[in-house]
Amino acid sequence: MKRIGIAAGVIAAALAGCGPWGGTAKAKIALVMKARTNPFFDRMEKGAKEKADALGADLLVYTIADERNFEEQAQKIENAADQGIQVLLIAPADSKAVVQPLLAVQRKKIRIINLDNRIDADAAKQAGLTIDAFVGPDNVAGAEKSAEHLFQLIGSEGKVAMLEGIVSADNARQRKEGFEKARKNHPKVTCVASIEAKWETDVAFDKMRGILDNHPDLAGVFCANDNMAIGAIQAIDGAGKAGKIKVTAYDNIDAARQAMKDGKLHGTIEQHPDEMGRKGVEAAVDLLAGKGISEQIPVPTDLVRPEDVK
Amino acid sequence: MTSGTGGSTGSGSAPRFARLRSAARRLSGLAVALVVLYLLMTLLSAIEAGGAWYDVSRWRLRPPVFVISREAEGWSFAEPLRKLLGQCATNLVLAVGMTFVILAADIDLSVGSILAFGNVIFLLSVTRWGLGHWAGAGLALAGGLACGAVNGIVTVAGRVPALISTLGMMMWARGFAFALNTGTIYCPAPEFISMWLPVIIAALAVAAGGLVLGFTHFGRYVYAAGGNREAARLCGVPVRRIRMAVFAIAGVASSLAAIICWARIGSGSDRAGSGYELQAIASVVVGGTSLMGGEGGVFGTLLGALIMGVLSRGLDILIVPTELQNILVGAVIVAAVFYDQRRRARMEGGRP
Repeated sequence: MKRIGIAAGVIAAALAGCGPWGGTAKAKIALVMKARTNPFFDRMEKGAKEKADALGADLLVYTIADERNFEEQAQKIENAADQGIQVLLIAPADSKAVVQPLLAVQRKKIRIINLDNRIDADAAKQAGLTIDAFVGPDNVAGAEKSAEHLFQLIGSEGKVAMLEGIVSADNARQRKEGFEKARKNHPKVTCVASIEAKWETDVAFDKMRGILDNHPDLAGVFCANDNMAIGAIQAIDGAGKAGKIKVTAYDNIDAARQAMKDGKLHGTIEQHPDEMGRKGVEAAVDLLAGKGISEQIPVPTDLVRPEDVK
Repeated sequence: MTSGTGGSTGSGSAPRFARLRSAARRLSGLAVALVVLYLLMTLLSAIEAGGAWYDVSRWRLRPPVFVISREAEGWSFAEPLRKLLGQCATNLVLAVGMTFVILAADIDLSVGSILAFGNVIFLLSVTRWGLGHWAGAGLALAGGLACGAVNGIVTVAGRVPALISTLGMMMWARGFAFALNTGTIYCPAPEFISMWLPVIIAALAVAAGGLVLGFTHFGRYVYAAGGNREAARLCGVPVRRIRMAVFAIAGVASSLAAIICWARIGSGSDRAGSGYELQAIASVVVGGTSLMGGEGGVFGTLLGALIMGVLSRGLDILIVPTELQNILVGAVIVAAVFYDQRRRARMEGGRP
């Protein structure tokens, strides 16, 4: 009881000095992402903060502890919406699981901009969710660059394989499409296997071993992300073919840069997450200023070669 | 389960009210802690730093509306409070089930995984098997009950320590969920359901748990089985059946939590509820239930879960980074139990 009294006293005292309450004219934007432990999102946050400072906008950043916990991200979305924000930038942990939580945000007349992983278009349409813009990488173009680089390295002929991400995911499908597009320019390249390795290093290791057993004369492999490339490289090392089979991938994570320094990975794709953050904040500020913004805001991808990381 | 007067511990209503009084005394400290924390969070969320956060002279305070929120207009008391309760709901229902298990001096690590299993069963029933929401919910509850029953049988009849048997179920149940479906199942919930069903289920679960533990023979047996297993057995308490039953209850509670989880986010997956078992155990323990069994109750768990929820929402509103939040929550759990232990020791020492 005494403690309640003290707390009430503190509040009353604080209220006595209470000034006028009014919203500031600044744009207030929240950015809800996945885990900060993933360097990709760390860089996205840095880019977004930089741009927000430059444009004089308030940016509130939320991350989750477990990337697989969609309920946690829903909670962050719910809480971010109570910050008096005008725009929510969302990098979904899952392209479908964010739809219903975002509906509640939309009901509060908060504008929504989608970063990185694209929200499922069918689910959004079914629910009546309007996304003002999508800021994300061109996965098809990126994968095409990585695959093209691979085909040139093997002299535009021989057997190649691809390790795919989770096939139901948008970005996995797009990277596969980019690979197929690059293959059209190289008629002498034959694709002997294109297998789902679920973005995972250990799955990729197993699948790659299987491919090597069947095709010992494989010339190159394209992996839809760096994690899978790490697994594939281990399998190639195990088969005593290190350096003989060319490997290119996607994402430019630290482990991939190390593998390139070691001469085991021969190229990967940089997606510029910081640029995603910058463009997202810029679009939000433009939207609030009443300027028209494009519904699709592509972020360029770049090929990173071993000579670039030395 | 009857709620008649006069159980094995005595007759008439006097002992029962004595028990309620002692429970109230035990919980008053927690209730005060919850109120103080809530007021602190509302106060902090009402401060707006005009300049840099440390520039106290430019702080402004919003008029007092006692909710944890930072919105400048459109004030209502009910909406932010509903959000807060909705955010507590999943964990609260898991924790109510966990309270039964811990009171009986056991532990259940599988509730988060059973949640995922129930979540997937429910969503597949609705979207793919064409069973509708009610039948889907029934099937999910049956699935949870089955998982809980297996926990009970393996632990009690198989004499496998609960820590191990439920660790096994933690892997099985998530494995079953994965085998049934990988990836996200999208199945939006109507607005009213998404807003209110979590709160309603949680309230009913707390009420039911409180009534069963406080006013039935079964409830008394749970305390007895956890307090001193051997003595309870010698007094004729069916300890083995009671222990099996508490695991089954935790399983059903996990399925209820699975339905809450769906209502809140309108989708589900085999990855739902990962790590929730520890959150539930933490809520029970913060709520003053002894890990040794036999002491505590559902209302303590309610307070414990609310404390965790207020902390989580409050820190979110104050934009404390997730990583730092985890550190703070860990400290709160340990501090709560430390304080509770000392208080209990003092109370026992001071008793005539």
